[in-house]
Amino acid sequence: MKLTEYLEAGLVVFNVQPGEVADILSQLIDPLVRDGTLSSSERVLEALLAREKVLSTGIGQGIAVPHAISEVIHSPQLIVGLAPQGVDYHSMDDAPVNVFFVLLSPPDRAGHHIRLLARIARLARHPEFVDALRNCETGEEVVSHIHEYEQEHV
Amino acid sequence: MELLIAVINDVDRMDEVLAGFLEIGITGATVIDSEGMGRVLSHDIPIFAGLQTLISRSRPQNQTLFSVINEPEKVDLAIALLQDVCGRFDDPATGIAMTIPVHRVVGLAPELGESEG
Repeated sequence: MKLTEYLEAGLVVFNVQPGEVADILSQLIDPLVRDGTLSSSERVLEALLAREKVLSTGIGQGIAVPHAISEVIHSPQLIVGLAPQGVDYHSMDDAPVNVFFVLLSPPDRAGHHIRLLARIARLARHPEFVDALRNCETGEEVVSHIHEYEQEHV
Repeated sequence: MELLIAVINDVDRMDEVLAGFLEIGITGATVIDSEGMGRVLSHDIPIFAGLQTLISRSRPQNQTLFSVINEPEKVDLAIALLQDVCGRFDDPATGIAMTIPVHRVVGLAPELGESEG
């Protein structure tokens, strides 16, 4: 299972700006709102915020993985967000977040959702992977970097 | 159906291994703390104390993972994953993996279904 099966250059959000968690999430899902993929951004936002209330998805080391399963999502969606300056996201280690992986899935793909989360969690453990991601300047670079890394690892 | 047994010397790698198992569809495993023979001998039997040959081949603690896996291709993927995460098991002090056939199992959790959250 590869992240690049779900990621395209247009789904990379650069310069995520600081704000409340809801504001940050709104910025992150904006590409899916603009291209009409999300039929209800409010309900997606609610689902993402509900998950954040359980426990912050800011997993530390500058990484956050906001994710939600919702019936208004029709197929798995992945967005990468970069915040070069770092934004406060109530992370577990209190460090600012500069790399976001946003994962959205419909209820009938929940098992698949968990596998993709596991993939993200595993890649996020590799500092060299995340450092290089932080330095990407275009969506194409992000996709290419992830693709190359996934080719090298099981 | 096979039982995969893997001893992982760098216990900090275990969570990455388990995340990888989830990715490839292996959703059940048991992990126990364990100790290698070299460690036990060099620490618990005085005559072997301080023998570098034994100490260099072991770590203070390792972990052992057990998982019953249904599909042969998942077994292959799991072994590849273990070595991707932990390093080649041919190298010393990384780990060891083996499989044995399983003829019967009861109580195995079902595979992760698409509708499970």
